[in-house]
Amino acid sequence: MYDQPSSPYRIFLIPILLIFWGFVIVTAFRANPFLFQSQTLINSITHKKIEQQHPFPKPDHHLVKIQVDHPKELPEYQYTAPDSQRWSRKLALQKVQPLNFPDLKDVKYRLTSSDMFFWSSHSSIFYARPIEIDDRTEESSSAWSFQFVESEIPRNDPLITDQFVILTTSYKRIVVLVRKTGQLLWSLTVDYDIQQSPALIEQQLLVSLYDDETQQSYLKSFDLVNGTPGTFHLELSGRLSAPLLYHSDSHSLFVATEERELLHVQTPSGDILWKHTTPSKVVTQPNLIDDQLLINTADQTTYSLKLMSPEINWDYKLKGIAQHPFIVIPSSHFVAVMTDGGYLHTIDYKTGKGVWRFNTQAKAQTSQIAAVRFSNQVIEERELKWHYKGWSIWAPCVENRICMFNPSEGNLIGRLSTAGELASMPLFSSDHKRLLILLKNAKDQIAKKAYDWGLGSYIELSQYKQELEDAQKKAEEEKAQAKAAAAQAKAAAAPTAGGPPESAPQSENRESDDP
Amino acid sequence: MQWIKDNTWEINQSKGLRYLGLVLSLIHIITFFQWNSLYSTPDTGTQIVCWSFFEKCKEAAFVTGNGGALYTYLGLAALSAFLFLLGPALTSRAWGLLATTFFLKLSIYLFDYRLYSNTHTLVFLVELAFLLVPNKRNLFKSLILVYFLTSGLFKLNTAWLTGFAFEPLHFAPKVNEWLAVLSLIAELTLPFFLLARKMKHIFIGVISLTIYHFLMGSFEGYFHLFIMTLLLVLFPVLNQEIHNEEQGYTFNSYLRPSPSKLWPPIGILVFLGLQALPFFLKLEWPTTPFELIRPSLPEECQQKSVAIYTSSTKILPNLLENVEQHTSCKTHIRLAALKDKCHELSQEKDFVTIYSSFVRRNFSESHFQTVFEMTDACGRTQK
Repeated sequence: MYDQPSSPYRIFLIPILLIFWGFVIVTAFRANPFLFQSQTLINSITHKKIEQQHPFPKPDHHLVKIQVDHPKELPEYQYTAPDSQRWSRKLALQKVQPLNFPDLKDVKYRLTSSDMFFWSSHSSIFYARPIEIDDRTEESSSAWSFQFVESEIPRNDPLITDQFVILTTSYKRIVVLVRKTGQLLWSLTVDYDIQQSPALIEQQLLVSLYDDETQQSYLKSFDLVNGTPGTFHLELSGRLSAPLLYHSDSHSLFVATEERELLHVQTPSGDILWKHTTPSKVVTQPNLIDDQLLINTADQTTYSLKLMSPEINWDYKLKGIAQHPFIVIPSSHFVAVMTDGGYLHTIDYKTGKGVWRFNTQAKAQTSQIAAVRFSNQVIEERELKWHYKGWSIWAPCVENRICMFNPSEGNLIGRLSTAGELASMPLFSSDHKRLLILLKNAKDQIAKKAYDWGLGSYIELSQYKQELEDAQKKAEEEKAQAKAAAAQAKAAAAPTAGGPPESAPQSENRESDDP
Repeated sequence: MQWIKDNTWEINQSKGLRYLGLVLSLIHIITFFQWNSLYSTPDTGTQIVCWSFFEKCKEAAFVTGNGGALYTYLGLAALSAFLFLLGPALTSRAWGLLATTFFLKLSIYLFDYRLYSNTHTLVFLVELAFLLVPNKRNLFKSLILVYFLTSGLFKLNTAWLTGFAFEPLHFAPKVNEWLAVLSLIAELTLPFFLLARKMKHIFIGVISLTIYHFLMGSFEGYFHLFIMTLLLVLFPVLNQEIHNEEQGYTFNSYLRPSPSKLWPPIGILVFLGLQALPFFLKLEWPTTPFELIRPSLPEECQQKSVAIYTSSTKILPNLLENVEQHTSCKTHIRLAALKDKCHELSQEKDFVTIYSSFVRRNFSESHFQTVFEMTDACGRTQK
């Protein structure tokens, strides 16, 4: 049909094609020398990277340089109690100082001697406010807030050191902020969910991560200052059931898992010194006291283990599940803990025998308790034993009350009324002249269903009720003179905050002494 | 003017070229539907990304308004297709409409970097050749051939030969590597069938390349498959026409002499020159909208931005959520997004500036390299 003309260029076609395909083949094999081998190119070029990365990417060093100057926005705050006032059990409400806190649902807080940190699992903002409970001369920090990415929320309790605030978030992110200014030091997104609060091992941040797919937990260390991955690495099966406990003297770590395993791990090597299977999972951070480890388990029992070998010293049956680690009462062998039923237990940790137990009937948000030392005058007045140097146990009790207990006898030696429901245990100034308590705010009380908890105010308490009442009366009188008659009547009818000192209802509330 | 008349005359004389005009108009119509879906989505519609050479695109953008530009584009393309269908009498008007559509499409394209794709690059060059360059049939064939060869040669690198592009198919890595090699061989051999004189070979080329694009559709996109099929189908038509002309070739008009045979090689050189431009200018591609996208291993990049207010700091979320991977790691795009954010936040009370850092690493790198770090990205810190 069609007579194809012969092209004069055809003679060059074959060499050109040969050169072209030669070039293609050589280039292809230079680009991938493993085509005819079982090894694959993708693995060979990522091998080193995977080794270095697995399972964590390198942190964001580049975030170290942020410089932010926050202006000081201290809340309005005045304290008028005279220095001559002394501490006693007769405490009364002196002043309620409302602060413009944002409305937060399920608010959580952390009080330190100079700052208050608060956050919520419903908000992507972490707040810090200075408090001035102490007359300290050092520079006070200023208020700041840190906003995460939208819908990113804080997870676990923050780790707060002198210099840094370490947060973990729902976006698998570790965020390290400068405590005074709130500026971002570094942040790091890790591969897995972060469970429990981070722990600090000298200058290393220890983070526990959980891989849902493999159901493995990873403990991994990072440099606190710049986020560089550390050498510590430990893999465990199952989630962690309680926060980590680091013992600096023995350079070791205690880890409890949901699989009922309690591990004693050497740092930084990660060697497991011993492993103990507990009858039930550990629910609170362990306590380490005099070479023995106290653990609270979900089966409502406290176990004491030896530090160097997992032998059980003693066990003690609690009434309810412990909500926090034990507090240690100084100058005694006593430890105390509060359980979910509101029972306050005091145990002699040397013998493992219960000293006493008390149903506080607490209805407060917090189940934290504290060990507080009274003045010599109070020891005398309340017939406390000098042997225990005035130490008492403070715990929330009944409704809007803090009860003070004699640690050796369990009798109620004092009670403190508050203007609202307790949200925290008191924070004392170093001279014990002042204290600060967080209360549930009035808004919450009105709209309990809408808001579970909120911080709307903090109050100061001072000792002499009479003085306070006098001061209040005086203030009211001054006000009454200045204002109209109707306002005067209103001011006079206002209830005196704090109320009269109440007698200790030790007999009616006391359930039983154990033993 | 005479140049345009010569070009329209050439189109008028050839049924195959009129079909090509019709196909190009149809491609415009298909393009409209693709772009319209992008701009009508609330999340992506307004997030225009500028080309590196046109940073102020957003100030002049007309696509994101009420969609008038896009519908005008559709109307012109549809009318042009209709006129090409009506026959040779209206060819010059169809040409005019197609040219207008071409420039309108180019305008839209230059306003948004997200529209950048190999398909559009090829269609632009083919259409430009169709509208303005003589010897259109041979030029069209040459451009398609050189497109495949360039695309194949661009795949001749480690990035492609790792088989990374085939990972979504979930084959073994070694299978992926060989699929990459086979695709390369396909692109470097099959197009030569299109230049054969025998119709049987041409059909083999068209069918095999269509199947190839169909198989590659999972990551090249089915839009690309559709457009390539439309263009490839023209080959038998054009070839038959050339064959018929060669058999009956007796008269050579002096008034309108046959177009020079130099035009196809010139077209190929222009095409290759455009692809080689970033090598000569030593710039990050693309320097022009007419460059093919080169296969590259996915880059990993992170931009951390923190909005700084007078009394608080706030981590900003990803500024480029709806931008494809191959564009999202481009420096100029990150800077542009940052600039937009500065402008947006400047309305807020107490806003000071944005701190931002951008790090990037390629597939084989274990560490990120800092591309930029700006403590005052908005340049408005007040001290």
